[in-house]
Amino acid sequence: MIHTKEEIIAHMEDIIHSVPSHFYADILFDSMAVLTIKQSKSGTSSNVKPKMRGFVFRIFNGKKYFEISHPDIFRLKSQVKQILPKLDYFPDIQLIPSPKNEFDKEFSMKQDFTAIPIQEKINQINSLYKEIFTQDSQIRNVFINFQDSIQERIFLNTEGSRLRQVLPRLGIQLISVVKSNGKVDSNKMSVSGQGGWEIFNSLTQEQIQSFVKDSIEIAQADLPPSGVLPIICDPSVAGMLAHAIFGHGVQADTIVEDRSYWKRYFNLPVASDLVNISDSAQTGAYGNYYFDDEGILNKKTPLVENGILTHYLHSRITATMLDMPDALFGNGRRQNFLHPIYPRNSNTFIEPGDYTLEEMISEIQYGLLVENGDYGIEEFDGSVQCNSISGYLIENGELKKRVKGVAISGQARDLFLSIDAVSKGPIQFSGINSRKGLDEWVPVTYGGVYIKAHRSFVSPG
Amino acid sequence: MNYDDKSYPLYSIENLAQVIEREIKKANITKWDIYLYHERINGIHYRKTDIEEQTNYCNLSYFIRVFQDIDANSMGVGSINLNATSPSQIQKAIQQAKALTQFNIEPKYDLVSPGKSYADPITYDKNIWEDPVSFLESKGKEIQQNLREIIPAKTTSGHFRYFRKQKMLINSNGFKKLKKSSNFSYEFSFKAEKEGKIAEYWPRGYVKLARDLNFDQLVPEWATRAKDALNAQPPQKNEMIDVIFAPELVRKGLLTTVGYAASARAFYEKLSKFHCQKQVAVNFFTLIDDGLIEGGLNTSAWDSEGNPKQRTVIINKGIMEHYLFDQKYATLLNRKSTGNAQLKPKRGGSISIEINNLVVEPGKRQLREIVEDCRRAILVINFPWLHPNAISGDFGASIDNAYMIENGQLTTPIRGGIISGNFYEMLNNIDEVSKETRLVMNAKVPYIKFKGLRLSSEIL
Repeated sequence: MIHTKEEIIAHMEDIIHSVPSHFYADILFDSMAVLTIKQSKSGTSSNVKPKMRGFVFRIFNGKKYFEISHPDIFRLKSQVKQILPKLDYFPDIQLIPSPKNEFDKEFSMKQDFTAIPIQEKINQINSLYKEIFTQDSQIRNVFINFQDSIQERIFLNTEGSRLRQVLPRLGIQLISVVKSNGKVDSNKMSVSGQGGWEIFNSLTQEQIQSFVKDSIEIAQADLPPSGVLPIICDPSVAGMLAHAIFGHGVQADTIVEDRSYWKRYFNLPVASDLVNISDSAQTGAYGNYYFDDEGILNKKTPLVENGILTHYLHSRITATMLDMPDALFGNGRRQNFLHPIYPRNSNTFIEPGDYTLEEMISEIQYGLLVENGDYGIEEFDGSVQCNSISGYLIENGELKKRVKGVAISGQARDLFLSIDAVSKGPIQFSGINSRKGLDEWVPVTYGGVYIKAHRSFVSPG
Repeated sequence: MNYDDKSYPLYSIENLAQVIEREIKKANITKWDIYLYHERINGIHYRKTDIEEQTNYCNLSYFIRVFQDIDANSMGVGSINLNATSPSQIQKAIQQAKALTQFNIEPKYDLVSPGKSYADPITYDKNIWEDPVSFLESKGKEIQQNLREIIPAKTTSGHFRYFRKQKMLINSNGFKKLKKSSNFSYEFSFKAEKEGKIAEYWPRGYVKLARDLNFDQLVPEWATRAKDALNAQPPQKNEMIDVIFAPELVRKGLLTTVGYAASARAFYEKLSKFHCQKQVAVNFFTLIDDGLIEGGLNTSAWDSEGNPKQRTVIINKGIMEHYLFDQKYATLLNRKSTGNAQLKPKRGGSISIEINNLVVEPGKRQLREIVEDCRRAILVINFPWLHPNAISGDFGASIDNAYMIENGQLTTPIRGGIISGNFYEMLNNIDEVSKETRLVMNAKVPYIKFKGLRLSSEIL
């Protein structure tokens, strides 16, 4: 059994050195340590994953990739030895060059959660659970899902890159169930980020009180109207739209496959000129990393600049196929050593503008403030569906009654072209694990600021 | 690409189980179970119709649970999940699990004992198990051929994977069982294009047995849906309308809502919308969990706690009959497990109660006959994202692929607009259930016509 990073790297180097020089190959060590704690009326349950680790080897023969993975490096070595003589090389596709990088960084936690005993974590989660319950007798249940994790990845390739990163993440999700006036409904909130126990501690008393108050109001709320209305999206809804439409819609494999709706709008307007949308794994949020799973150091990608679609999100093969060597910013990601690499987003967000929320509200005669984004999806004809947990009706420039379950849908480009105000910061992020198709979960965030669109199709949802 | 896996007989589920069991005994733990999970995944990934990647993944991981009695009614539970194979790391994990028993207090229940009787359903294709790569390559060529022959739409991407899984459960009562199962996953996208307008149909899912990989029939059907979507119109007005859900949507909606409301956990936490022996649906609606149905994605002999999977009638002719139980909630509620404990490694490792395979009993008339009797309705084939709130039942989903039904005929293809409603209320507003059913992953379900859902239109 190998233990130290030096031993791991030495074995990975053996494999890389066994590859004939005309092939490109890389190998990734993937290790994940996770603590999960769940709390509800049924009690507390926790599960520890001390370290789930494995290796994935990938080789490119000029036409396609072959990948094999195994948790045991010795067995992987043997398998690589078996397949190498069977591979033919084809000079069809030359991967764009990537600089040789050497890098070893562990993200430091302000409050190291590995130093906090599990008992202490459970106690604090229990206190939080009781605190929410005692706020109001109409709360019928509270589900708390807590997870802290440390992901370690080591990457080596035949071009000489040697990279290592250690990424701590923490997330906590609260779900309340309320029965009020005979109606039962639920509400959600979450806090997450890259870092340590300080993320848990960032949950304030005011946030919890507001969460409980919102939960009760949502249970009592009516459905929203349906139709085409002006709307204001809070940062979670605005961010979810940006994540779904641009975080997913411009992943460059869909461009190469001629699948994406957005290909036709490259370097053309996709939003009003007030809108800037970026993707960056360097924001400190839940979707952070230093280098991607192809060993490319991450840089901020401006996706939409002053309303113009300017960049796609690339893996190395897509940047090669589209001949965009200067746009490879480190977005080739895999879920773990049992999943392939795809171009993926990281932290996708709407950049701040110069409005205030109050100004936005005052400009709407009849519309909606849509808040607490729940989920969103972009379709390949450029349409979008984004559902939120709640919202407010706006009448004559003022927030009126609470509504629940708002769905925003329709053509995403029309919606974004109709944005006529973007609020000042700060940017707020929400962390989730995002999938691509059936699976391929990776940590990301969606975020942004308030946006106002003068024309949006909304309905109950 | 293949390699000789047999060179490493020591890397086997049986041998690792022996090593872990030995370490548990060394730690003097009297009540424990070990759930081992050996997964091998072979995949082919397509860019348009060309293979862009071939993958071959393997992992052998396990959960160790140790139990420590606290008093007559409660016990501590410690659960650890890892894939280390060295005795020293296993022993360290066992000690961590032991420490966790001080914090996770659950009602005391017994672990399953040997001697129960189990069904023996087909859970994998024996001929493919030994040589999945050859099968994937030949089936892949067949799929490529099907894709190339498509006239109305072209494919843009896809994947085809084969999962081989071995699961073993052993415990301190002397219980020891190994099961093999396999399944395929597929995902393809079809694009149709006309005069600058594009439409896509994106089928994806899991299939248990090779005989159900009917790509020669499915691919043209999928391509036609992409083509029809190209000619689709948004709904023309806001209205309350009868809606027929395709089997894929029946599955998604009912698994999320009924699956939750029928769980003993929801009942125990007083959150279930269902009350036993009360009417929860129309009187011609029967819904069953069947863990043994042929070809069902979750079909197998036993659940994650070793209890036999079975057939449980949840709703019988509209009346709520049985909840679904695992060991914990069976103990809390003084009932017996129904074989619905599911330990999902990807979900943090805790056991949850889930429907194994959802079955809705078919009705008497074909979909064609149901459609013929509709004056005005909509047949929805696909929502891009159907995600009802399990607690309230509310949902709102935009229409991806649907057809208007007018005077008994399918007329305009529909795309856009939103259907909204509440699944718990819809169960009491079922107008008809079709005679034909479809096996969709872990469900065998018909088309269902629901009365009076809200259709919202973008057109003013």
